[in-house]
Amino acid sequence: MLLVSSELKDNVVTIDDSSQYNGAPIHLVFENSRVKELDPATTRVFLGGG
Amino acid sequence: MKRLKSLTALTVFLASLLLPPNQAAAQTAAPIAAPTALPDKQQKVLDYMLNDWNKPSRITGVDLAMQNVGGQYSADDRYAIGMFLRNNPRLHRTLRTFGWETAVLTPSEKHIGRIVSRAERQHQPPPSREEFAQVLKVSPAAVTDALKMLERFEIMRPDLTLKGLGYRMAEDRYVDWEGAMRITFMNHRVQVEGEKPFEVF
Repeated sequence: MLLVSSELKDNVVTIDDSSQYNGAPIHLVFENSRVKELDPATTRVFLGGG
Repeated sequence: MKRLKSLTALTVFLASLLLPPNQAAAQTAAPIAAPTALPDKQQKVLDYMLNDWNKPSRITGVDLAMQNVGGQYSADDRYAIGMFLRNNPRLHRTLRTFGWETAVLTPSEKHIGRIVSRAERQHQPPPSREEFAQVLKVSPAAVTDALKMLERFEIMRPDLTLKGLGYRMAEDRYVDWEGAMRITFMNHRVQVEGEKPFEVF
């Protein structure tokens, strides 16, 4: 998330990660530091970097 | 002459006593040595990874490195590179910091390891192959392939007493793997538009 909000803030960035709660895969797409796609839709995103 | 032969025999005997136990055993039965080098095709992947790991926060694994390098790579190639990494922790600080496992497992294998280890810690049955397949959006056969690879890497082992999945973690350290610098079964894949994907810790 630090990368998305700093060094890569002007890019389209896709992140494939997993839930800390149940391990389920999470797919996110950011464009200019803003969430563009979110799967599953119930995912909560906390953007770091101040 | 006879005295010279005796002296030679005595010298050889003393030399064998001075050898470390492992080396002494090697004189009688040569152990199967781990490869000291990889074939060019696999070395290309290893070079890609070592270069990637020199960048901040990077820990791109074998699977993605094979994809980024391009060409035809198989599960056997991944296994060979994985074993090479396991046997050569001096290759890079990333291996010594995070362990070889996180660099050789696919995201699906890590997911299975993460969920099964947690189930064992909580004394709960692990999900079935079908349940894993549903969450990972792959076929049950792909889950079976992932389990076989985890078994090949000696991270999980079959246990027919377990109903359902039939596999458990092979060692306690794979059950209690979480902690400082332990990202064994974690995966964070990033792709910047127009660039090759990479993995971070």
